[in-house]
Formats: sequence, structure tokens, C-alpha cells
Amino acid sequence: MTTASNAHSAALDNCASYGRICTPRRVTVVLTSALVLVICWQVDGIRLGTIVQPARIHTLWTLFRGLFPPDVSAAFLWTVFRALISTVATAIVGTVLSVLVAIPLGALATPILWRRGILSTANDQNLFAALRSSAGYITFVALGFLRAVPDLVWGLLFVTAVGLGSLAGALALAVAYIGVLGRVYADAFADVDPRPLEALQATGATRTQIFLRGIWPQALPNLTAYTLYSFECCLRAACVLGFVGAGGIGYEISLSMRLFAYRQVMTLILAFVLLLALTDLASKRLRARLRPNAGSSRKRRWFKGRRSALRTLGYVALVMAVGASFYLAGFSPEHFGEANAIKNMLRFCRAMTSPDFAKEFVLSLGPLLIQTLAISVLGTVMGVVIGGILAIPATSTLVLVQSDSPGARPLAKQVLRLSVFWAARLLLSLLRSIPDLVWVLVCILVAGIGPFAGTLAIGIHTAGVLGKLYAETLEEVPAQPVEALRALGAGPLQLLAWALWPQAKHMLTCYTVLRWEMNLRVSAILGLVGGGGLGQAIYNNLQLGFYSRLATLLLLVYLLVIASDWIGDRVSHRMAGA
Amino acid sequence: MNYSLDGVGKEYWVRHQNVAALESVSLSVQKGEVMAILGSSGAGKTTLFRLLNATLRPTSGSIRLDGREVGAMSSWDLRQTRRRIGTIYQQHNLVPSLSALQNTLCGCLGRWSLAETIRSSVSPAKVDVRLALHALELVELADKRNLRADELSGGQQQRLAIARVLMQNPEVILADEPVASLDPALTDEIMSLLIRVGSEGNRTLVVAIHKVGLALEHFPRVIGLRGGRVFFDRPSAKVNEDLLHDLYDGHRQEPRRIQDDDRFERAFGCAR
Repeated sequence: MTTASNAHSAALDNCASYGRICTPRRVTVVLTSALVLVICWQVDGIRLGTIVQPARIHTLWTLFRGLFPPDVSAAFLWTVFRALISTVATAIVGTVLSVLVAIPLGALATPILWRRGILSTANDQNLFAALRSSAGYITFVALGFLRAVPDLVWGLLFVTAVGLGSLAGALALAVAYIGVLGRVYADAFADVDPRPLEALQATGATRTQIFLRGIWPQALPNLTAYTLYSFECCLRAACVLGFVGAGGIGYEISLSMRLFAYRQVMTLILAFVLLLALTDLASKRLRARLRPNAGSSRKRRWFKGRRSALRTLGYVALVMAVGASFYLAGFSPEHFGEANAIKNMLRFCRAMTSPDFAKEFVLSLGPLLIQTLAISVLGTVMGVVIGGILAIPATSTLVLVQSDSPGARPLAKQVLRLSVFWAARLLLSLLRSIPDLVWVLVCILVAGIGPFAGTLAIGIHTAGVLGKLYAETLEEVPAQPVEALRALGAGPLQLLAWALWPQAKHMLTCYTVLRWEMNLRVSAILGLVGGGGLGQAIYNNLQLGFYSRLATLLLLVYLLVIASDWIGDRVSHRMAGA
Repeated sequence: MNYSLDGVGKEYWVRHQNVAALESVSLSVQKGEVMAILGSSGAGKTTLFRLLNATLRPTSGSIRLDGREVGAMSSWDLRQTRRRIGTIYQQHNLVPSLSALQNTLCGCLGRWSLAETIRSSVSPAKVDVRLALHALELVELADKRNLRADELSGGQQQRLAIARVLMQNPEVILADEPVASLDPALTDEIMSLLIRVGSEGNRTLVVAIHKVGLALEHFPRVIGLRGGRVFFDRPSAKVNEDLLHDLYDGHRQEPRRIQDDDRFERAFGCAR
């Protein structure tokens, strides 16, 4: 007995941290994060006092009251309909153009095809091979640049070049998504099974043949899925692009917002959310059907009998939709023939190659850069806190009683639980589906123009995005340990702390870091609508036609994005290791 | 704790039809009783255990714990009841990313107040850590306390599950095929550990088991489940070869589909 208790105390001494709340490591972490937060707080000029002033609250109340009832007059509904069609057309054109360009570029940026891996043999080491490999590398970097410059900035550039309207939006989307899809396609091409490629090479196939017969068929399912997904993203982006004058529903929202016609804003937002929900549903359906072993129901059998006819019909509809979209987006020869557009584009391209590195200009960017960083950090923290709190009632494992659980279930309690759950879910999806730029416009009413409004907007939107992700992740952890703890008498909060959180913590951190990276991009452009940070400088220099300064700014954004990618990767890896 | 099950049945909705996992099971278990449950796969053992540890609602019949109907308990009573019942599963019931010590501490969850839960999420109290270390020592895992549960071998994980039950200090221990995924040497070790733990403190011990020899050797009362029904329920001395042969006969029996007229009969209380 004595030996046993001796062993206990020895073990207790070994793990001395048990029972102590303040370990040195914890103190360091808490103090460092507090310091960072205080600095961000100062840089962002956060004045909580301004929000709770009666006048501001009154403004907010007026805004809220003004939203109801939504404007459903026939004339306005027609406007909304046209704006929706134009948004969809913009997104379709953007996606089609970017797919067409991204496939060859993606192939060029695929390392196994050109640079390293099984297809590069020793007798391949000549000048031509070196050229080829460097072409691949340059494509890779160029795609990175296209991706790093925010789509809103591309929108501004094209609005300057080809004028207000959907055409600018479509071109901006095309350029931005060439970067995204090129990279994604290159990854999909690189992920294929290399053994068939070796076999093809052994038969003496050329690189083109290897690509067409070996890589393409293997990568196709992934390509389709990514393309569908990118169409959804394009649709969101097409809306947001309207804020800088690229037409569509975003343009209408910003217009109505400036005219203080909040009832119209409500209608537009409802229409937009509906559009997104429908697209989401359609693409989910389509992806499920494209999956190789989709289950066969009676409905599917009906389709099977008429497959070829339906397929032809689908293709015809698709081609017609794309054609109509190109027409609606304003693709016509005279648009490009205008001397002004060409001249603007050329001037812009020339300036892009000679960034302005004048000392005082570069130095003046320092504070803006820090402000951008501070907005993204504080906004993300705010989103994590609010989203985390909202995620708990939105997790069905914690709130709802499992249908086969025993015990009495008073109706009132059941109703209460269900309403808490759905209220949380609804609130989260509301915060998420309203674009962050709309949130900036709302927050400006409360907090005034500047970084404070930007931080609030990012925080609110992030709360919606992360809250839903958190709730879903918590619901999807392996169920057996959760059941085991439930069976020994653990309550909901205990399940959260001891079963859900330990199992989900890695995923949750990854999502949060990923979201911070995205927020950094967003906070670089919030200034375009008055949210502080680098965006303000981008907007000013573009309006004034200082393209070489703009080039410096874009380079800075590029570096920022690369740095955030790197930091995000490192944090995720460390979390995976720990 | 005294169990009394009266005409308990459980149906699952599988592939667009009702499948009966258990049908009119009636049995009672007295406090301190030690018993084994035999039966082939799909005989309803796991369902029975989930009913016994108050995590599953039966489709028909009633389950009483110490005379109290489980179906009528409030969620708080239910938690208090579950706290008195410890369960050991075949596998996958530890939280994989928590350390052995933390997994053992999970046994306390049922008796911790809200304040203690919050405190222990940051750093558990010394008293509880001491108890947990003691439990780990009993299952000879004290030196592995800082390893994550998924870094332990199968036998060690099963011993850790027993440590968690020790920490919980329940009145009833339910073990659902605790040795099914273990090799023979470990099987003996885990079984004798379970029986030792069960006999300390006059705990009720119910073990589902595949190995007939083990059941007859260690357990005074044996229940045979076949096709979701109690096939026999008698002292182990009275279990003979023929009975066992019948128990495992028709081994690959499909669970019976509930017919509509069947349900009709039951609704009107007709005998079949």
C-alpha cells in the first residue's frame, strides 16, 4: 500500500502540471496573444463607444426597419430579374473563359509532365528540355499572381479599361479564375496514378499523347467537380464585382444602398440568397450524379431509359445558355475595337512591368499594410468568438435529443430545443450568405468609414462562415467515443469538452487558419468600399491613373498572400504534428 | 441496481423495412449478480446492452431500474442513472486524441458539477488525478498515462476502458464482447481483470461473450439469445451441449422482417 501511494506521488510529481492552471507555457501564450490583440485594437481604431451611441443605434434601427417589407412592385421585380440574369451570365462567361484558358496552362504547370518525376529521363538534359521546364515554372508563378490579386481589383482594372457593365465583370472573373483553376487543374493532373503513364511512355507515346490518354481520363472526375465548384464561387464573386461597377445584382445593391432604398436592398439580397441556394442545390445534385457509383432509384431508372435524348437536350441547353451569356455580357467586336479600351489596357500592362519604388511612396504603404493585417487578425478573432458561441446551439449532437434515446420528452422542451437549434442555424446562414462587402456598407453606417467598419464586417461574415463549419465538424466526429461518454452520464457541455473538441480540434484549427488567409485577401480590398486598409490606396491610385503605383500595391498584395499561405501551411502542419 | 425487463422489443428501420433486433425479452437481474450472455452475431446482444445502459429506447415493453421506468425519466434522472452503469465496448470507445490519463478522467464526467467540468477542461483537480492514477495502476497502465489512446495496443486500450469504468465506480458493469478483438493470452488477462473488478464492491456484472468455455467457467448464470429472443436463461451448470448446439444452429439467420399483420396482432394484444 505504501509503495503504491509512493508511486502515485512520484507520478504526480512527474506530471507536475496537473492541478495547476498557470503553467509557464500557457502564461506566455496568453500574454502574447493579448499583446497582439491590443496592438490590432489600437491600429484598427476600435471605439466600442461609437457603436452604443444612441444616434448610431437609431441609424441601425432605421436601417433595420427600412428593410421591411421588401419592395415587390412589378417594376422593381423586373429590375431584379434582369440583374439576376446578368449576374448569372457574367458568372457563366467568366467560368467558360477561365476553363478554356486554364486547361492548357494547367497542363503546362504540371510538374510531372515537364520538370521532374518519371517522365523526365537522363537523356533529356538538353537546352530544349531546360526551356520547357522553365516555361512550366513561369506558368506556375504567373498563375499564382493571377490568383493572389483579388477579383475585385481585377474588376476595377477592367471597369477602367472597358467601361462599366457586365463585360468588365466577366473579364475580371475570367482572369482571376484562370489563376484559381489553372492551379487546381495542375494539382489534379499531378495527382493521377503515375504507373499508366510509365506504361504509355514505354510504348513510345509523345508527351501530348501521354497527357491525352494517360492523365486526362484519370483527372476528369476531379476536374468536373472543381469546375462546378468554381462556378459557384464565380457566382458569388459576380455579385460582389457589381460593387465596383461591373453590373449585375451587386451593382443594384450598392445603388439602392446609396439611395437609402433599403426595401429594395432587402429584395435584392433575398433574390441573391435564393439564387445561391438554388445553385448550391443544383451543383450538389449534379455532383452526386457524376459520382461513379451513385445509387439507383426509381427516378434514375426513368432517366436511364431516356438517357441519350436527355443528354443531347442538356448539351443543347448548355450551349445555348453559354451563347446567350456571351451575348448578355456584352461580348461584341465594337466593344474591343474601341481605341480607348485598347489604349487603356496597353498603358496598364506597360505600367505593370515598372512598379513605382519611390522611397516615400513605399514608406507610406507601411501603416496601411499593418492596418490590413490588423483588420484581418481582429476580424478573424471576432468571427471565431461569435461563430464559436453560435456553433454550440447549432450542433445537433449537443442540442437535440437523439430520436432513439430513452427517457421522457415533454413537448415544450422538445419545441424549445428545436427552435434554439434552428434559430442558431438560420442566424449563421444569414450572416454567411450576405457578402462581406454588403456588411461593410452596413457597418459604415454604424462605425463610420475606416478600419473599424472593415473589422466589424469581416468579423460578422466570418462568424457565419466559421460557425457553420464548426457545427458541421463537431457533428461529424466519430460517434462511438461520444456514445461511450454519453452512456457514462456526461452532459452536453461535457461531451463538447471531452469528446467533440479533442476529436475535432485539428480540423477546427485548420479551418480557422484557412479562413484567416481568406480574410487577409478580403481586408486588402475592403478599402474599395470604405473599409480601411490597402484597398483605399488601390482605389485612389486606380482612379487617378497612377498605374505604376498600382503595380507596387498589387505586388505588395501578392507578397502578402504568399506570406499568409506560407504561415497558414506552417501552422496547419504544426497542429497536425502536435 | 435491479433490472427488470418486461416484454422488451426493439425494431430498426433498415433499407425501407422494419427489422426486429429484439423481440419480447423479459428478464430480471438482481444487484450483485454475475452473468454471461451468449449468442451468435446478430442475435441482439449489442442492442440489449444499449437498452441496459439506458441509451436506447425500446420499441415495445418496459425497462425498470430499481423499479423506476426508464422511459419516464427526465434527462437529468437519465444522466444520474447512466452514471451508475459502466459500459465496456468491443472497441473504438476511447477518445483517440486524449491521453490515457485524460481518458480515465472521463469516468468522472457524470459526477462533476458544471464548475468542476470547466476547471478540469483547463487542468483537472489533484484529487481526481490521484484517483485516475490509482485506476491506471490497477490495470497496469500507469507508465503509459501520457500516451494518446490511439497509440496504445488493442489489449492496452481495453485495459484503459476498464480503468475508465473503475474511475466511474458504477454499480453495474456491462461488457459487450470485451475480448472479441484480442488474442487468447490477453483474453484470459482481461476476463480475470473484469471478474475481479466486478466482485469487488458487489457490482452487477453482465458480459456478452463469444467463447462458450469462458462463459461456463466464470459465470454462474448464462443467458442465450437467439434471433432476438431469450433462448435459455439458467445456471451455467445446467447448460448442456444440445442447448448450445441449438443456440448456434441456424447461425446465419436473417433478422426477421416484421409483417404488417404481425404488427396488427401486437397492437390488439393477440397472442401469436
